[in-house]
Amino acid sequence: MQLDRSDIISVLPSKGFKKKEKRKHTYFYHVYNGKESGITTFVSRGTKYKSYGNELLGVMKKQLKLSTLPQLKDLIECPMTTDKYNKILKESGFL
Amino acid sequence: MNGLSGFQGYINIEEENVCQLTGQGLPFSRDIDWKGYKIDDRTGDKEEAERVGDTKSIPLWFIISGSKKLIAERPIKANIYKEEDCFTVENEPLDIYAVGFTLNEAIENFMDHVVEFWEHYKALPDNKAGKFAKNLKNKYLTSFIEEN
Repeated sequence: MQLDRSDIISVLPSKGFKKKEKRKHTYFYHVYNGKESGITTFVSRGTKYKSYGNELLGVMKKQLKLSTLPQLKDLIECPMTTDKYNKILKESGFL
Repeated sequence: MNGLSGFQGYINIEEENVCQLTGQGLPFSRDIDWKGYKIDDRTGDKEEAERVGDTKSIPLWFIISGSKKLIAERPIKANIYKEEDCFTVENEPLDIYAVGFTLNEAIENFMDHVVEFWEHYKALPDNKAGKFAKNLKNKYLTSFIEEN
């Protein structure tokens, strides 16, 4: 499974994440009801990180508190709505 | 020998699967024999059945990223995994999962993330933080002090 870094960067802000650009990495902080939830992820700059394969996505899945890679794919490729994602975080006790 | 400025030491890739870590953030030199894990394509989990080596842990006393240096109140445990094409360095209590295509890069990224989160949570007002974020903020602010 592979996802493009550009897709991750463009989609996460629409799923409730606040983007913060830093020198080497772009960070995403999840916000729910006006408060930061503590759920974060990041993507790194550089050509090696243009495409995210299983290892990088496995790490991102942990950061985003998702159980499976297909869930992460759904979040990035849009079938999973912001509400659905927040519901998952609620059910797992993060919200 | 590969230099690693943020580590104030070096990681010496002696052979394909053997690294020696020495650094100011470490109490001693240590050889690491990397074997690896296989990632389950469906879940993204590490397949235990495929595991032929153990997770390696190193204690870090200092976290350095750019011009910022944080001193750990107690050594921070960094768990290191070698996966198919990359290294993962993680600390679950601090919720940090860093990756790199070399061990040096993964540790540098780990340190970048610690510093970013420490600065971020230091600036985050309590009334803008949910329960999990407050818990993380407390961990970061009590785990490190900034060296002036």
